[in-house]
Amino acid sequence: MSDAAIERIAIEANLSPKALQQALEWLVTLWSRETTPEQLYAMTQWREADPDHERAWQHVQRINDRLTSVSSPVAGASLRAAHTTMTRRNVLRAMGLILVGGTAAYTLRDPTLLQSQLADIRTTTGEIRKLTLEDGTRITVNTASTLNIGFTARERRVRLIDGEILVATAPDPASRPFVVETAG
Amino acid sequence: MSAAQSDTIAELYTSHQSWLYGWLRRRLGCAYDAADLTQDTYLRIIISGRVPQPDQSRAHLMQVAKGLVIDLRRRRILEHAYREALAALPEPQTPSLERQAIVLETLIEIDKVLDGLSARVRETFLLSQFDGLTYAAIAERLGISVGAVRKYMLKAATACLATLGAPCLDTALT
Repeated sequence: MSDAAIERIAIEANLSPKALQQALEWLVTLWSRETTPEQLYAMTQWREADPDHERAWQHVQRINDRLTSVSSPVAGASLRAAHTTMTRRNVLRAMGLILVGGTAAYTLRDPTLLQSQLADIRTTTGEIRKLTLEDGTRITVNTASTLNIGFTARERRVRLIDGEILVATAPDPASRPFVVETAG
Repeated sequence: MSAAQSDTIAELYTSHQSWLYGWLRRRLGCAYDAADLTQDTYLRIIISGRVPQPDQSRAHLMQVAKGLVIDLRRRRILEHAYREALAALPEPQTPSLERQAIVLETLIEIDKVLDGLSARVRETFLLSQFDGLTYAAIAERLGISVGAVRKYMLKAATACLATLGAPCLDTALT
């Protein structure tokens, strides 16, 4: 949000834009939790210097009241979790079933002799998991999906048995191709 | 509202209400939610005072309804996340249901504010306001300067101003 937005809000609330900007600065100073007595004194002086200052301060205090009324690690954890879920869903919806980006080679080949080295990843219904592979490749595994991951000296292979994944490959120093294999 | 406007709204309702309900029902897969959002869509249009031209009726209804669908999804996701976080608390610390409802309403507003912020600003704000860290601690945690923390916090505070600084007028709508 810009200074123009502050000005608009100030005018709507019948406040001085300059006083509102200063009140926000004071709020941010208080939020540091390391306010010195000198700063507190200066702030009190600012509030008393002009009725406009005090009114602007009362206005920004509302933000503080609303925030402190809910502030807790539980609330913070909820906001973080909700944001992550929404971001992931958007990504999955926007990009479709399988997306291989970067410098990856996307090919289908016969399963080779990787079986012994395969790691098994499984998500339950409703679970979405984000993985980062040893080479930095990121895979988002959608709900109810199963995949195997096998890296050899010659190639990086992901085998999707069931469900949906979204793959964002990382460049490989050894230039091994990245292969996504789908069942069926 | 003028008599002419009231007629237009009535026309908008009788001609398109069942179509809108059908569209929402397919989209949401839930009859109750679809009925609720159908009413909310018309309520939004009445309150906004912007009644669409007859040839744009459905496009306009759909645009308003889409916004409400996104709001509902966000609300449900946040509600779920909040319940999960509460479930992890020891029993005596669980707030009353009434208190939970009030907290959730405020969290929904904060979530809207956060949505408009960059990842860095968002995390700085969360660490300060919900985890109680000092600016110095945040700077160390995120590997940025205290000056940058202050700058981000000012950005977040300004973003809060529009949503949280306003008196609660439209809570009945959401």
